[in-house]
Amino acid sequence: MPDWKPEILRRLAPLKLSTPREAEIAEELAQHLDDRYQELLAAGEAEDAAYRTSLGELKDEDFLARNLKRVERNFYREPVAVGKGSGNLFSGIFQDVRYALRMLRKSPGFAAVAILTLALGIGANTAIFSVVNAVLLRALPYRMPSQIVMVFWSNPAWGQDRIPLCVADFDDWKALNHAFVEPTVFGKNLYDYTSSQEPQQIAGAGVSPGFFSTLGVEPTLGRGFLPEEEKPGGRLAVIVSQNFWVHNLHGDAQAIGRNITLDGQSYVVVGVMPGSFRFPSESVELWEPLRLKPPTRRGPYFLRGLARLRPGVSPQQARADMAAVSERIREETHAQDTGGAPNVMPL
Amino acid sequence: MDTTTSIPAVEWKRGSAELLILSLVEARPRHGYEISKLIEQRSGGTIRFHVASLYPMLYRLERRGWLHGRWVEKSGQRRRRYYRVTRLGRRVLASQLRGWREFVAGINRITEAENA
Repeated sequence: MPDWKPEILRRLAPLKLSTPREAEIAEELAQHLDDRYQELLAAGEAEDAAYRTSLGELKDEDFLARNLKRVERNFYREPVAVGKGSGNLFSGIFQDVRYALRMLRKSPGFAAVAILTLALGIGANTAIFSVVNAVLLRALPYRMPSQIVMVFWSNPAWGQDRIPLCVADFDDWKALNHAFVEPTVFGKNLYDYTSSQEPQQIAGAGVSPGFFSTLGVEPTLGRGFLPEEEKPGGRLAVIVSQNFWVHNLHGDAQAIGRNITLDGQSYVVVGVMPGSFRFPSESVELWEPLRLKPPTRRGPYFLRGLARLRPGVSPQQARADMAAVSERIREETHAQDTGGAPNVMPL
Repeated sequence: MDTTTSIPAVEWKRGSAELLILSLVEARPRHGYEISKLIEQRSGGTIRFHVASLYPMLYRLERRGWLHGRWVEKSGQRRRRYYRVTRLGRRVLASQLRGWREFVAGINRITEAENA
């Protein structure tokens, strides 16, 4: 079968149509010429004669373009000279958009399906990217986050891998540690915040000394906790999130040193964290020192471990180091081996 | 290809082309080649449109909203562009048919009277 498209496209070229429109016309006319050619062959004509007769359907060199000119004038594309700033950079785009809109208006069903498909696709992509961005792409607002790990107990027999630590575990960990810079722990809590407005329940966390330095963050306003504030019986101090500072303390720089009431007790606000800092979860708005007392027993288990690996130490090596802690606990408690093991997880 | 190149025949063909096309696709959608063959066959070969004439006409009728063209792909075949008459096209066809019949009747009355 002869290829009619080059001849058709050559005759359409003077019209300077948009590429999709030109291709559409060429495809349709080529099909007609194919049918005509087949008809002539079937009638007994020789191939070359059938070819010439079929090609003659296009008439003179400029006949097709003359006939199409007025019809297709809305699809003209103004010439864009390469290398010149013609100022018509978007004229072809506008014409293509107008053509697309015209075609969609003529096919409302197809347009509805196309728009719905696009909307679903865009929505799904946005949702997926939001998750990927939050989980994988967006950098954690901590110094060298790859070196920071969470520490739990795990027990496959129980089906759990994030069993909290107790204060005694924390003390043993600090005493026997070789893999971490400075072990820290934290525990989440809910506080009743009382102010001139309606009481609110605010999520917060108690943190051990070195918590913020482990993460490599510090307050943007005020300071971190003083050593005396982190000891049992020390002054009740609190660091607040930027969100809390804006909504409850009016974003006032003079709020540092001001007292707020949490759980019926007066806490002095000593610092405001950066807006990007929301650890251990998005809902946490307050941080206070844990002020841990020496334990008298194993338990309760409410603490989560947080530590920065020493340079050159991998999470696997850290896990092995924690196994020594686990062994110490078994010796001390004479507990049977239930299959539990330390679990060291990247942040 | 015109059976005659006389100016009156060309003008008659041009004036009736839209009527012919709308009439042929009124019954069911047809593609361009089918339309051209039907015109040639039903006119006994007296009226024929080349590709370079037919498709500009089809596109013009489509721009006016009298025809709606749609690519259709049938199993085992290349996709083809089928044209069907729109609601507006039906109204135009009905109007043109009335006008054409009145015109022909008027011509007949005059010519028969003159040649009687």
